[in-house]
Amino acid sequence: MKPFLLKISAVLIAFSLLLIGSDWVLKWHHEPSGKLARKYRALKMDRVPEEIPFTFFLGSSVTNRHINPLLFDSIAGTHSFNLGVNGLAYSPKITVLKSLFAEGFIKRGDEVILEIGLSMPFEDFELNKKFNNNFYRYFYTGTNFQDDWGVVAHSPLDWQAKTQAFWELFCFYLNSRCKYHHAIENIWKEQNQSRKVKSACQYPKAYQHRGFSPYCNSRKANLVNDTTTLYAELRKYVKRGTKLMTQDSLRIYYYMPYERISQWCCQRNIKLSFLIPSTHGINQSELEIAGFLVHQNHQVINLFDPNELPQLFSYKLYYNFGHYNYQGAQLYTKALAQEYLKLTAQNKK
Amino acid sequence: MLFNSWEFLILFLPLVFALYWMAKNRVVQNWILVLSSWYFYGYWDWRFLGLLLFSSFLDYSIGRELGKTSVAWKRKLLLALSFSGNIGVLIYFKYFGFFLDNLEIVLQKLGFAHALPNLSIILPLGISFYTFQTFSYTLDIYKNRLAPEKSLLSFLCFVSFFPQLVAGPIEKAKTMLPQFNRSRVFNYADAVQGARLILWGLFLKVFISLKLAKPVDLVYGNLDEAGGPLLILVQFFFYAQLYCDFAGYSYIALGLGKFMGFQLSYNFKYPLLSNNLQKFWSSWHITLNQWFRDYLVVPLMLKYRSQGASLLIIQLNLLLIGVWHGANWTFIACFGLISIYYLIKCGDHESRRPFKKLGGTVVSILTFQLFIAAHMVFFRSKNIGHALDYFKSILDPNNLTPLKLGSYPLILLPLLLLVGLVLIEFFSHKRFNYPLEQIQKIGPVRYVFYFVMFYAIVANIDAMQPFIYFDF
Repeated sequence: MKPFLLKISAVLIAFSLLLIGSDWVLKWHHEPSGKLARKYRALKMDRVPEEIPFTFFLGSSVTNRHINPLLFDSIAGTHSFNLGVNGLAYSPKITVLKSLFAEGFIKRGDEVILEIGLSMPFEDFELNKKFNNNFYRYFYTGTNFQDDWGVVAHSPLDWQAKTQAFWELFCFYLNSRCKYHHAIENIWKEQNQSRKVKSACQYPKAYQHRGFSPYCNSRKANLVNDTTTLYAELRKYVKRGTKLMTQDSLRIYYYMPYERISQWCCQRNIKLSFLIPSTHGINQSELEIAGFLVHQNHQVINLFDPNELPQLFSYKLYYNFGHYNYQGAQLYTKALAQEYLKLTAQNKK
Repeated sequence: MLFNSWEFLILFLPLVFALYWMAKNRVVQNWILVLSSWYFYGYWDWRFLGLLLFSSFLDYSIGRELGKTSVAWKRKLLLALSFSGNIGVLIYFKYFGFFLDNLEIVLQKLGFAHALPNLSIILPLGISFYTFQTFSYTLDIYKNRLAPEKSLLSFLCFVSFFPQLVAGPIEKAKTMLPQFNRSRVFNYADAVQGARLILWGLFLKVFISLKLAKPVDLVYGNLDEAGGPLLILVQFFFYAQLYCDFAGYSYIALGLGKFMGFQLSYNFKYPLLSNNLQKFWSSWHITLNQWFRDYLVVPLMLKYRSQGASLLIIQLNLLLIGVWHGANWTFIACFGLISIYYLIKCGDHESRRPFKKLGGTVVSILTFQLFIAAHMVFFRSKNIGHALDYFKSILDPNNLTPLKLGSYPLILLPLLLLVGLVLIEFFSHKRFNYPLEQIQKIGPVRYVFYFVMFYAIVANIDAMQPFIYFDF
């Protein structure tokens, strides 16, 4: 049996090394697939003329569903584009930012408004394995794996959950190794598909509104019918992943990465602002992160302020837990644009 | 647990393999097989382990009792008990809901408006496979073709052996039980063949089947959008998808069997090259067809020897195979089409055919395969209406745009894979049981092929793709 075991182990190890090694060889296959790919293409078409500085909104579905660039521009006088992707957690947001810069979509002089969320890898497991989101499937690198495992390892989860998390991350990493390279194939497919096929595939309504993909103006039937209960529910939802977050975890996995990305942007002459959305049902940890960012003289737009922005805190604006309907999205964009103008005015002073 | 999941490939298989071969004797090895098989089955839903155990203990006890008595009526009673136990469970879980739904429709048409209870019965994984396997054991003893198994442990292994537990091959007791009762030593050549079978099976299932599934799912979900020629092409894709899915599973099962020192039966032998029903049925889901042949067709034909009776028996056989596949009219229609084809072609002997040269063979293969692909429209459709819509769209004279829905990229890769698969079968079918059987003859170049397959598997492996035949 030994010769067999030795041979098959050697072959499998060699193949795995070849597979991982192929990352280096096939790096030009960088363009992602799925929703983000469609945004890339929309952006490519939209970025004319090139000399106008762009304002990018980068974030999760909260950004994707809530920020209407056309409305924002009409108030703030900018030229903006919504790069929100459903299910996008922190580390892939940063990868998106870096890859967009590397490929020339984001240029020096542009501005990025980065949504702050507490989406963390161990939280993702509990919230139904968001790893299947379109972005992660193709861009889950060794560094992502290390980062995410680091978060899990330092998280308050028990050892069983950690083991499960490690296993899922490990499998996900192996799985995405090749998908990463296959991304180009998907792009090609999608570009060649007719409109009818796209609608048949139930793609969103296209990204002709500069990446904005709102929900309709209705509400989910199971949504609560008063604002207090809604926010109480949202807080519970957020708490699941973050209730025991220690200062140490915050420092390692939020403060330091935010500092790093801020420096990275600064070095490339990209203006970076952080956005705290109004729909998270914010908790203590998020407030601490916001406080830290302000303290470090970062640009922070805080929309989670029921006193200043009461118009954003009504259950009637919600489509489902965590997302506004179209009416809510319009109000959110207006509030964002006004806060943005205030911040710009402060900076000028 | 699925064969195409990381849990199985990285944790379960190496662990069971190591424990199994570290065990010093046959009994310990059998215990490891039984426990691991139960874990494998219970991983999906532990509650249904009870059914597996019920089926195992029922037929083991009945087999023992059959061995003790020669009184005809007692033997018949025991056989009836096994039949009602196994087939009763199968009928309840697989067909009862279907029966109620149809009864309700009939009652409504007769003017009885009462709604019957809506039972949400979950179909236990692999129930059609293991009940047939255990019932055949009792039948063999009843027919005095097999002595009752003394060892309960060996019998439990026979029923619950994880490589073939949930989707076959449906093995016979007389070939499997002796294998569980003999000592097994590790054999390098068998293990290597096992690894190749697993690799080939995973490649078929995880890569080819998946790539073929994309246009199939798209077209079946949007019939209005597709032109006739595309529908025909996609139907070939579905046929090949089903083949790769099921044959892939069967090759993996065979490979796992070889890993453990067992020889399971080949379930597929190059069906894409068959040009008549006889060849097709002896190359597609072989063990199921053999089961029906041995336990239904041959006994009935020996009893009723007229030509008319033979025809009726064949029709009954096809009907039952259709019903075996699932509780849906589509399966019955699917095998009904085969039945009609059989009736039309039953006087058509190969020797009388005008095509004798290669060109003729190709034409006969293509026409036969077109029929096979066409009858599978019923296999894939949600209901009869959906299937008829598919045929209507194909035959619609206004719908002849070459490739209306989708674009060339949508079908290019599946088409290349389909052609590649046919070519591989063509070059392998005369000499090998499966294409990689003698690949060592090409020397170290084989590792390039291995790596390509490994890459394709790792890239596409996804535990969310269950095998199509798990539904049966």
